[in-house]
Amino acid sequence: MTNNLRPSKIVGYLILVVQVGSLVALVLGIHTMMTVFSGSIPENQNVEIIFEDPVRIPYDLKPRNDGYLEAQFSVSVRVLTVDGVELASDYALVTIQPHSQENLGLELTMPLSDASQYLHNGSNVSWVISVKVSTLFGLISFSDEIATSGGLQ
Amino acid sequence: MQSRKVGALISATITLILFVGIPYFLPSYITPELGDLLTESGIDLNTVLNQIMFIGVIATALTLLKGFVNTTSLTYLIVAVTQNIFTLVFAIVLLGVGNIAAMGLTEFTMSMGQVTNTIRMDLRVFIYLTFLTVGLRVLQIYLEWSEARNDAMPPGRIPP
Repeated sequence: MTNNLRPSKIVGYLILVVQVGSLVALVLGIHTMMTVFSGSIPENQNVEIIFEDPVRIPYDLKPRNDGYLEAQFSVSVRVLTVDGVELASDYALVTIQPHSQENLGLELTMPLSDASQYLHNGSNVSWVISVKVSTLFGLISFSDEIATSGGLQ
Repeated sequence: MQSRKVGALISATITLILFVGIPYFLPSYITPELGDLLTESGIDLNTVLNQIMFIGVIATALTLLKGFVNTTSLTYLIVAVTQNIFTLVFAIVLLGVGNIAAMGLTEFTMSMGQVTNTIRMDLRVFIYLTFLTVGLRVLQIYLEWSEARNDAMPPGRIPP
């Protein structure tokens, strides 16, 4: 058997393919996740609360994917009492193609009585915002959950 | 044989610098603010660096040993396989930021005042790919060792 056709050489080429593939996937995957994540959180966004019954709190997000891979972006917003009872929540999931942007609309709704009891008090509810970005066919993911205790944010 | 020894010496020196020298001096370059941030995130930097340096010392010793033993000996096979297993351990330590049990699923929690921030990173697929690579490397080492033994046989001998 010639040197080039030896089984060890064939396995060597296979290793090279796996290693190069892994490295490329790691770099592109992390780059995509980080660009989507950093572009998803709006800076200084004013949240408008519509005081009617039910009370509505709309959130608008415009996540952008500047990476080279398709990404799945999900976001959830929850308002919880100190006992962990959920007052309001909303969730959205979107697939963002490379170098494109999507619009996401979330809306928290709660009865006016709950809002009057909890939102004006200022310190007895917690707001939990969860953002998750996954890519490489959902094989890798990055998520961030921010829990803030207090009243209106 | 001489070139293998020189190659092993160079390779061992590079391994020693990368995995022992740099982690040893790294803490002196980390600002107190960054150190505090890492501590708040639950990352014990000293433990991570000690793990890397421990792996580095063993990898250096194995690299040297591999260069100085006969490629047809059983010692060479054992050393080469052990070296690859340490590559796997290193990848697990690195992707788990020091937490070997996490197997690529990393979680940090930071609390500042009334805000708690929990970050999760799932890179387990790369641990599985490292397992695959190391498995293939072990197979390749065995094949190379087997081929080297066959090549070293006197002409006319039929390989077992």
